[in-house]
Amino acid sequence: MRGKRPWISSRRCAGESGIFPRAFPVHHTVHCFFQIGITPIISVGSPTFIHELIVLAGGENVARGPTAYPRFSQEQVVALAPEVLIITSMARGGHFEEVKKSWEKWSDLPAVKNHRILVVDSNLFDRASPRIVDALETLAMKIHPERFEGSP
Amino acid sequence: MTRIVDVRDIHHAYGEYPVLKQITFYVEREDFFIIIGPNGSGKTTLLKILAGILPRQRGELDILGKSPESLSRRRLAKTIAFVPQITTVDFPFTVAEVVLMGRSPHLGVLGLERKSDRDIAEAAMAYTDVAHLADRRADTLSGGELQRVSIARAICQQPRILLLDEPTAALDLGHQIRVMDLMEKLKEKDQLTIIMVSHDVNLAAMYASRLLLLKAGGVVSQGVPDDVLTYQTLEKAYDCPLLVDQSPLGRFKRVTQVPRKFIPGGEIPRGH
Amino acid sequence: MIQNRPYILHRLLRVSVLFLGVLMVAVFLGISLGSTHIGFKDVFESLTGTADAGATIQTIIWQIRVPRVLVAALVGAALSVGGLVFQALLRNPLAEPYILGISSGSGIGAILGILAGLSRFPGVGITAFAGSVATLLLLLLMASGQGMVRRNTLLLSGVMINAFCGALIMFLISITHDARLHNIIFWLMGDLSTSSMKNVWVLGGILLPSCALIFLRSNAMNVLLMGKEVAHTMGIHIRWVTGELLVVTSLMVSITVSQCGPIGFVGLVIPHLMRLILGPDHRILVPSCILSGGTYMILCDVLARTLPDQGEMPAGVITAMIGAPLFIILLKRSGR
Repeated sequence: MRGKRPWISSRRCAGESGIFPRAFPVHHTVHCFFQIGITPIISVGSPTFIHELIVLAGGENVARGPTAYPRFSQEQVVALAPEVLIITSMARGGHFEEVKKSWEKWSDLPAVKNHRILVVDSNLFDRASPRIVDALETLAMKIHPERFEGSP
Repeated sequence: MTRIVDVRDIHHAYGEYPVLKQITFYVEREDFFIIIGPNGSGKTTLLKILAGILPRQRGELDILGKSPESLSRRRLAKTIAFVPQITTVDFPFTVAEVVLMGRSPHLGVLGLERKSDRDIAEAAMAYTDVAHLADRRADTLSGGELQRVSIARAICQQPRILLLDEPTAALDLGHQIRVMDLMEKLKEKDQLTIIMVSHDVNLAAMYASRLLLLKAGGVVSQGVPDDVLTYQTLEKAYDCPLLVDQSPLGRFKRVTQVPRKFIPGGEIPRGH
Repeated sequence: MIQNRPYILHRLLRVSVLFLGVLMVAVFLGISLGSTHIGFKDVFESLTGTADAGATIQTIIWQIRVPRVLVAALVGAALSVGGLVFQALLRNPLAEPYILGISSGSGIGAILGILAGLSRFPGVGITAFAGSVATLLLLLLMASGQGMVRRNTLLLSGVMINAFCGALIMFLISITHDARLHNIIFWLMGDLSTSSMKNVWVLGGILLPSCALIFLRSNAMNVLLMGKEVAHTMGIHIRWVTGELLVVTSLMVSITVSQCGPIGFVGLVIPHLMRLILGPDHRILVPSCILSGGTYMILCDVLARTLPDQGEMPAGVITAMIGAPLFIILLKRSGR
């Protein structure tokens, strides 16, 4: 797990699928809130690989900061007004939908207005394994679906 | 004279163990009725049945011609007030608050008092000589003071009958006599009927209008003090040598325990 | 002299108005303070609707803070008055539903309800109620000899029941693979952070009538303190009143547990404080505990929201940190 993720470069870094932000210009870096803990609400700060994934996928991590896994209160999340809210959970099982529903009551939240509360497979995101590339791909498609319209 | 309390053939048992057997007696209006008897004779149990604290198991009990079960608790509380042997006040109520609580059977659900209730409480406190303690915390009082506060609270209920469980047991000589005098005053001036359990045969002799002597849950003797307080009945009840003579005050019997050293050859000296 | 004292009704009105005012200040503070900074002016304008403060502020105030403050007020009121009732009925100034294990008992009920897949209300509320009544009966059975509940036996039994229930809860959490329980740690510490208007309706609908009923029994509670036998001869139906009060209190405790988890010591701190200021008359204490219990809980929750520099902590942590030392002080003093 050390080093600069050599598998990424070995597999996809050539940019054949063109998923890196540098590979395609985005008009707008989408404000993302990535939730990894439910009660308390825990997100990802700058010194994490998920943060890097968000940036690579053309998003802006609204929870960025020196703390690796900062805690948030509900109202702080509402105040950050994320456009996309991504939920993965250390807790496995069918609990995600409930969490999603609990966010949907904030009808003024941009992510709720645009129906962009997304539940992602925690197997891809919660550990820095070779499959992290699939995670990046997923994330990019979720954050910038317009870039992938028409692609297979 | 009308019978204010009529007890017929009361039996009571705690589980298997019988404490009262075939108790029959009556109390008349304005009686000063004292129940005496040795420890474990069932005096307190009998008093608690009269107060409605213990359920009646067998037998008949009429209070003012009605069975207490037919009356509501509040109605009963306006007829009978009870003063326990020891009053415990765990929470820091003031004396005035405790006494005013005696009004609650007469008041609404929240017991919000009116001017007239305060007058009654004030009078009750003056009567029992605790008016100067009104603002003292009840849990800081001495035994004698607390006993008088408890009596004031009971008087505040404005009952017809006052039940007291050994009110003088924990008091010194002076307080004993003051409590008994107070009871006599209540009986004479306020037409209350007093029913009291007592250990003190001599006080009973001086104040009671009628006595009930119990032993082991049964009635040994009842009637006016002169009839009940004979050495034959008392020795039978208490199972010890006793000397019964005339009190120097004149009209009453006086009972004296006789220590063993005064009994030459086991004979008890009778007479003077 | 009795005649110079204020009438109970007057005292009642004065105390209620005073503590209601304090509660209102606490409500405003509770709505104004939080992990996001919103100025008092914006809060005031948003509350009175005089100016549009922006959608985000509106959402935070109306959908997050207002329900949360109302839930805190209701929970604090219920827990304080619950402690007050327990102290009066058990004639023990240290009795409190949390200390005596009633809260953890209803916690077990709540967790079993969650595991059975029941909804938060009424399902989990009912299982929590069953749990609290069961622990209450167990407690009374353990601590009562010859009718009179003895002081230290009661506390000791309660503490042991609490420990046992705590262990049982941990056991349930450790053996289950149910995802719903993995996020229960905050709930176990007493958390108000997920409060919504739905919680307000559920809690208010049950707690307010319960509080009213307890208020109607406040004079009976005074008389009960004169001792069972005396109370009996003063017109109180002891069994009925005691049973009714215990059941209502357990219901209040279990509904707060099912909604916010076991929050401890509120029922110790507030009744003691109120008794110290106002004396032991329950006709005054019940309303003042309701109002200032709400105030206290709101303020504890404000601390829970603002103290950590990241996110929030459960309000139960604050109440326990204030309440447990106080319990020890009171225990030492009562032993003298």
